[in-house]
Amino acid sequence: MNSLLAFENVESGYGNARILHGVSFVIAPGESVAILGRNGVGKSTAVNTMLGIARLFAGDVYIQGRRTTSLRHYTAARAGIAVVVQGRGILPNLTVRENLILGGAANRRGHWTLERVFELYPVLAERANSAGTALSGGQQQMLAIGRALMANPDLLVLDEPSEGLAPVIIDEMAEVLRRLSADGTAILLIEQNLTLVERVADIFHVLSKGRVVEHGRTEHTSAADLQKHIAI
Amino acid sequence: MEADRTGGGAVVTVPGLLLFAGFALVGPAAAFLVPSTLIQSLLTQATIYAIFALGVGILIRQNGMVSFGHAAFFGLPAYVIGAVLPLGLMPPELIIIGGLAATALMAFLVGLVIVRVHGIAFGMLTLAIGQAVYEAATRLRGLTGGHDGLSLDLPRFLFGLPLKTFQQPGSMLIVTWLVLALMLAVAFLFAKSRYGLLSEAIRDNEERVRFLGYRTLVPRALTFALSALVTAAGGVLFALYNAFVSPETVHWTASGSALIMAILGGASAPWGPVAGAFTYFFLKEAVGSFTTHWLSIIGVSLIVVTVVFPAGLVGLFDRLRPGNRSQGAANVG
Repeated sequence: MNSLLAFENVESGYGNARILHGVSFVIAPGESVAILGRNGVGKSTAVNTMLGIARLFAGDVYIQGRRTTSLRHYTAARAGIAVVVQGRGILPNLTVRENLILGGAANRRGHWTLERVFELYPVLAERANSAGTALSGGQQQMLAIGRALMANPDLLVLDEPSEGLAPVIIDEMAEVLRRLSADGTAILLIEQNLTLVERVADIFHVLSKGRVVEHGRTEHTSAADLQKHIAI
Repeated sequence: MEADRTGGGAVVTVPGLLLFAGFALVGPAAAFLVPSTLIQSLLTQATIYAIFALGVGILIRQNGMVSFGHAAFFGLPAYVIGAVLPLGLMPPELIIIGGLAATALMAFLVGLVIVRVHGIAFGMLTLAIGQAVYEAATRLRGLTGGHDGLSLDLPRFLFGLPLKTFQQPGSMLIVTWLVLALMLAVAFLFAKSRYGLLSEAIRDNEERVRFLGYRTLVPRALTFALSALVTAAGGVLFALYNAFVSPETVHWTASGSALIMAILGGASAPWGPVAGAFTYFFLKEAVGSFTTHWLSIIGVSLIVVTVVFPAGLVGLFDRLRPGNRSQGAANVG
């Protein structure tokens, strides 16, 4: 299977509660995919399954084409899948520079270095020695994305990146993600913000009650249709 | 002393180096300038306990963990030296270095098991391990001398120096102070290294660091081992100075004293536990000469410091320097 990440009939959840029911999707190199849905439909559970937080009851998860039976917290990152978690996960006692440096855990070679991230987000260079949590919400999101890029990922996963951000900041983020996608980085966007999805994703999957109820290409679907799908 | 933990490779600044050199000279200067043998002896003992507290402080600062059993690592090398030396199997210097290495290795292996748990559970595990070592020290009479303790039959020369160098307060003050300076340098460089950065990040949010692709168990165990190694270095100096080790050396109350020193000084900077150790030691001596209830006064002082300066002397120092961002473990010190 030539994919970066694939879910095949995945059933997963927490404790004995199953949240996802037979979810399947595939992300090929260079693709931009969005998983849409309202709160509580299981979007973040999909990410947590990949990160080994949620319990995998049934189905298979393929990372870089390999069926991965033992999903640990670090498995995805080491395989070239960087995750920007919901809430950004900035390490509180570290500076901006230190947060970024820690992003390069897997020592994967590639385009992204500290200098490149500072070129992408000059504000991070200006505040390199500030505590990461002293940044504004938008800047923290830049830091979280920059740190993920430091891993030189093949796939960048973003869980609700627009949460709590002003529209102008979301516009800037969309622009950056488009550029990353154009440069060949695959993107998995877990989102409710349809404007961001429309601008970034080529393919969408709509989740409802833990199941994929609709999928297709964003170019063939209007925002109104997406909204209708989510409302199902 | 400063090092860039983000740029790959240590960068020692000139002011930092001068500060470190100045600190390293304080002990030798005191040995020459302080005429009283009693004061020299107190300073020597305080320096040994400062190294002990420094080891405890490394664990608090880097791992965010509190140990109630570090006295085991303080006394263990002394017992190793005392037990192996009479056998004449190898040069005494090798036994000392071997004792340090064995303690660090043991701490690493124990750490691989116990650093998986956090908070009170970790503290209780260290207490259990410490008391297990204490029980062994009291019961294995043939090896440890039991409650009577073990006299160390040290050779006349060690590391090319006459034994009296290690047993006279003045000369031992120089030796212990230089070891303290070395251990402080190790603690500073570790804290400023990329590895120190990683361990701080793990302390703050272990799960998040795992998501970044790091395995976090070994770094935590290695930090535990480094902390034990620094503590053991203090223990070796204690053994050489006294030529004697007893179960009291590994008792949990000794661990508690070192912990009090670290908390008093504050663990958010490597120098904090050292300052705390000297404050504790001399406060104890000063108060002890007036009343037998010195422990109560130490206890009250600790409560006051914890309430007024939760980050210890380091926190007080930071308060007096406005605009200075407290690095790291504000929440653990």
